[in-house]
Amino acid sequence: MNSVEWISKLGPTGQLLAGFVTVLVLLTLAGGAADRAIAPDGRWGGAVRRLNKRLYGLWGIVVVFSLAMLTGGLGSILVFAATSFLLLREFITITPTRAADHRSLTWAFFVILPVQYLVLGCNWYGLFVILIPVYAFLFIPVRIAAGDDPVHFMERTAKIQWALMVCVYCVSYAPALIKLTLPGHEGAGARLLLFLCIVVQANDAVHEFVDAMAGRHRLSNRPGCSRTLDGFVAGSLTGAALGAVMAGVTPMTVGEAAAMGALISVMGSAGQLCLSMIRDERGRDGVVVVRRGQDMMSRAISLCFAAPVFFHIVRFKFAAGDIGLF
Amino acid sequence: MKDRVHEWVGRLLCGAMRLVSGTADRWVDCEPSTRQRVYYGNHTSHFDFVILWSALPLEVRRLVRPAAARDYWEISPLRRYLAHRVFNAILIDRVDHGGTLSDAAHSLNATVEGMGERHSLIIFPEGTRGTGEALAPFKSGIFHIARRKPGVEFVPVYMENLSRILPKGELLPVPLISSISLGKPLTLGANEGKVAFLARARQAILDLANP
Repeated sequence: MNSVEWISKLGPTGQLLAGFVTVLVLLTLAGGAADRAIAPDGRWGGAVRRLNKRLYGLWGIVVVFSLAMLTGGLGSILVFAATSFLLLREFITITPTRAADHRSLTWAFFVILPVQYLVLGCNWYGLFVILIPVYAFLFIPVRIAAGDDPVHFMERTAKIQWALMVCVYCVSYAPALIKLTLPGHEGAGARLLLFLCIVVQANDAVHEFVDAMAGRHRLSNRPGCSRTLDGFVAGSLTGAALGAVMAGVTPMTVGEAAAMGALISVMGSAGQLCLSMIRDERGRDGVVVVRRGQDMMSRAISLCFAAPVFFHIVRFKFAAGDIGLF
Repeated sequence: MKDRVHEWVGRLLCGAMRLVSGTADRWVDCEPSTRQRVYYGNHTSHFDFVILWSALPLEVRRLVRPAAARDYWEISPLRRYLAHRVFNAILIDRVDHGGTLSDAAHSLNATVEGMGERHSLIIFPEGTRGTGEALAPFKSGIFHIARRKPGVEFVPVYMENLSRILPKGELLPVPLISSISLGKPLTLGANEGKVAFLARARQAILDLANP
């Protein structure tokens, strides 16, 4: 059997995963070599170290994706539910809430979050899309009002709702891709999830690398924000290129896939920009206990912003069309 | 054998509590040690003691005894079991404002006797749980312990966010991330008075809160 036959036998999902793993192995080897060759302190050393750290994250994606394949979607729902939990915990930790919010926070952690993923597991599309934007949106202020503490009522309500939207609702769109019914493209949902994760991660890495090494045009004058227009453009182009390369394993044409890759990158960069705003606003007041090592938010925010947009465009264009189904 | 079981109950409890509170440990100018010490911290939540306890290495934990209120810990068989077998607590009869001087002396004696020559102590010198916002003035018990046990190190401990995880009067915790900081040990100065020592000890916790 020659190699061409062997590759075609893998099927589209296997091909995507095999290609991804091959690239990762090469990048990991290159990263290791670069780490040994370049002095650890200094600009290049720092950049290489950060890129290598991201590579470990990518290996995590391979594990999650393989798990999702083996368990028919249930595994990835559980993994993303856990991700939501950790993100929500991190987000509420850096958000000032008052004692009267305690009960609404327990609702958010122990009821709203699990129900969102339960609804996803039950394929109940109609409730999945409105549970948090409608029902949680109405419930949270009522529960806070029941605490009878009017200080900063609007801010507290908005912050808890925002936390739920970003950390739970948006994240849950990533595993929802697997549930999509795509006539003529059975099983493509899982590949779309991998497509999304790869583009998001690549954009983050390229954006950060170009910002640090070659960025000339800063997007902001705030000292805490190092993001540049150069990084943004480089990241978006990388997203478009990767999208085009992976088009074959998705229902999209090369042009469509490139456009989606660019869009995912733009949404990811937008998320990072918002997160840097949040970080600047909170600063050192409130709580500083979120250690750098636990800082999940900066790694996940791009996915949070990109997943719902990607999901709805794919569903609008390729899904079965029955309004109540994924 | 039985002691091993009790120890594992304690370890499981520590693990569960740390899972809920995602606690990050910070040892600031302080090393874990089995020497006799008094760990004193701010008190905002029912979790405080277990979190502090779980921040200590096992061999230190074996030698540490918390001072705890008898009326709270002897109310049910479960609490009695935890206090006596797992935490090895020194149970103190709480002294109300109406209590006499001899009540206070009795508590102090019980505490110092419970420490003996090798046990360390965990106390919360504010006396009662606060809101987590301000550190209440310290009760004088910590000073009297310092006088009775010269040379013992007093380790300030600051716990952040635990009051948000489980505020006073709530049953269900919110699993936020918290932190615990152990600061530079201090000892009673040769001619140091009560007011000066209490102020210094309290300031050490405030310094950990605002580094």
